[in-house]
Amino acid sequence: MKKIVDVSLPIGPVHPCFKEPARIKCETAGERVIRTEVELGYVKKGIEKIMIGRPWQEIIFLAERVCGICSVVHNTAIIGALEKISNITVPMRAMYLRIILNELDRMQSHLLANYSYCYTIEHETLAMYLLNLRETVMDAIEIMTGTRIMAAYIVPGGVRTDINREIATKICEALDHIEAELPRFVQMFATGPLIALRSKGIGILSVKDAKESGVVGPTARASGIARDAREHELLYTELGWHMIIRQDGDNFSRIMLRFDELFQSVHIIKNALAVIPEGPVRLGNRITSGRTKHTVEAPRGELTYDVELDENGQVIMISIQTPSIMNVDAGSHAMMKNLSSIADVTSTFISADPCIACAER
Amino acid sequence: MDLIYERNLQPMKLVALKGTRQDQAVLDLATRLGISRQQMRKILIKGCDMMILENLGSRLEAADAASADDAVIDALSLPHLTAATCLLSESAADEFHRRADSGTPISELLAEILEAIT
Repeated sequence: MKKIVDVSLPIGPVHPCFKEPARIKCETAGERVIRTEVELGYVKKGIEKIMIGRPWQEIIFLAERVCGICSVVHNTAIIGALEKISNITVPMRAMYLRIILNELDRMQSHLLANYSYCYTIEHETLAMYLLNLRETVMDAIEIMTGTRIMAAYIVPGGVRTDINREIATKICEALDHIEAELPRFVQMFATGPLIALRSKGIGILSVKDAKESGVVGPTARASGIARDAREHELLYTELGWHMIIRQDGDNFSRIMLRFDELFQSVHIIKNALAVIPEGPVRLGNRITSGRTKHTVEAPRGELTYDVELDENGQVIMISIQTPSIMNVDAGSHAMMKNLSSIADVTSTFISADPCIACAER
Repeated sequence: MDLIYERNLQPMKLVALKGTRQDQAVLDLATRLGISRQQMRKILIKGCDMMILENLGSRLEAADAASADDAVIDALSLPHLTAATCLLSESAADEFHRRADSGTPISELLAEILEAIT
């Protein structure tokens, strides 16, 4: 007779499926996972403490280094906070360029998240297709900013450099390539019977659990919670943004929602490139003292910077609330609870797109 | 849960609690319970896992919203100690609520709650 053994099983901190170190402690009864606990602290940067006492000219670069995957949105958030404190006006052309870059950043982040998920459920073919497609987006970011990550493209009062017609054409060509290729990959994911077996009905996040842990971004929207910081930005709505939500709250919904948002990002960037106005991309400005809280929609959800500057432009206090903190919390206490197989722990964890670098800012 | 090669997480948990937002959340909760920041940190490190500590700010915000409509629940900080930090079980919280409704002074119940979570 088969003997069922109850064990406490640790996964990680170093695991082939994890991009960054995290340890998941699983309490099991046979194959069933009763509850899990995520343990962080392996790559703690203490970047908030490093920023305190430094001038704003230094912290805008430090902010980008919170996360290598979504450095653009950290750049956007810190600059947005500084502009809010100092009442700095941004020229319209620069606002369009910021949206284009942020949506490219969202696309590469979503593609990387879905690649990680496919890799975790052992569908390496689809994973590599997605990773290859991500390179097209990374190339577009490089064409636009001059580098793949940490471009420091967004500066107070505008953006660092303008794009010409040639660059706009190259970005459009990259988007055309993605639009041509992506539906095939989405079809593979949506109709794959083995993918459905590993994804549908697995790692369900209920609305109650989602609200308790304050979950944000695609993870929240896949559980039917209509929450996106872009809804407060009029320009996004004008460019065709609308709330995308799904109701099931399982691994499959989270991945499919990111695919849906990829198509929307392509649409937004194309619209922005079609109607981008002429004019300057950067105006004169001066950073003043004050305190503000600024929230932007990062690829993983709401990213909030709470900043206080003194009269010399030095940071008195800063708090960075990254979306991964809430999403990993929800993953730990709700999504991975009562899983029927230990094999689903890593895939469910990855489906929430946890960024450990962000959580351990 | 007991792991055979578990390590001491106290230093890592303390680092998590020293974040700006987390520190403010600790202070708010300590003020609610009438104890010092150090005592509150000790209770949280002992009773909570690392993700709860990292996400303390958002969890307490959700608890604030949950307790906004009921003065007794708010005075006893029940959502803060149950759903937000998991320091108190739901059944124990219901019992404290029932006793508050039946006339037991809030200060007396707060002392008992403090004893229960310490």
